[in-house]
Amino acid sequence: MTSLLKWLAESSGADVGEAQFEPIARYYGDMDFVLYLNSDVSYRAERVDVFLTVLWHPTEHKLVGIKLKGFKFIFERLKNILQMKDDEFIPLVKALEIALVGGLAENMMASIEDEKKAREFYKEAMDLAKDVSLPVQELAEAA
Amino acid sequence: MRSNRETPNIVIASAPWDRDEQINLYANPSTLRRLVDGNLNAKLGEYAGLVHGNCQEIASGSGELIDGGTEGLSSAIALFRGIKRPRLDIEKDEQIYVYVLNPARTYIYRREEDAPRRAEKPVKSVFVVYVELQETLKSAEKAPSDIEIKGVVHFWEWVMASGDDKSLPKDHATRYDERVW
Repeated sequence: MTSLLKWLAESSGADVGEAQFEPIARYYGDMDFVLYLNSDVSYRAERVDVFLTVLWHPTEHKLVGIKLKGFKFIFERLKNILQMKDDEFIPLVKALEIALVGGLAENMMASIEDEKKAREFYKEAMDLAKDVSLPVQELAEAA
Repeated sequence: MRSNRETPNIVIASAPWDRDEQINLYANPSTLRRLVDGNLNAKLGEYAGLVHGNCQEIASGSGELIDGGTEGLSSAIALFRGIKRPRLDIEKDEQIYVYVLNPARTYIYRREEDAPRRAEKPVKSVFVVYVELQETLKSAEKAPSDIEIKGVVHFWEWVMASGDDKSLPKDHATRYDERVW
């Protein structure tokens, strides 16, 4: 194990494996957001609304991920709609649909131009995350 | 004052209540675990080089291991309090502090190497670090008992810079509750 990894693993109790980066969604409970990245890069975050932040490649105009914030709020609504069980998976697209409605409601005073821009970002986010899901268990573990 | 290389999970920062006072924060072990487990190596490089700051780095060109890094979180140029978003725990969002840094570079990390390398910083961006003070924390996982800890570093990232003030995050006047300093 390299020095930096050993340094970080020891201080956090992480299990260092040999696996390569894979684009998966993970829930960060203390900040209550889901982070999905399809590339291991120093992304630039751009806030769309209270729920969605899109993540750009550091130097190119290309989306590399999304951050869905206030995820407990989104999940509670999804649970009711989809009647989810603990061993199931949350499709990120469904979570984005909830967030889109919620975000537009929060920004009722926004201009038509801003609303159109937000919808475009959500569409791009849904395209990016169309095959991505998060295990319900991950939220339970973080609770 | 730089963070101590011997304590990689302890980060030194300016206190919210007094910019000249230095306080100790510790890196959220849950965050580090998720990043290590998920192979998010860019984030690990950012932590080592920009948040903690006192790290060795791989020199460009020679490839040698040299003393490097940055001043880390203690070089923050602004501090905001309160992130605006819908949560079940609104009080917690109000207690999140956002430190803003303007490093000249970022750091990337490859697992086969011993240390991170310098890299070109993301375009039109500033670096932010999300911190919560100890008094509002509901849990303090693995907080060191022999150092006085004032809070926890939950996360960090590059964000788009403001068009009006390139040293601050975009929409800084509206996305946070208040500017502390």
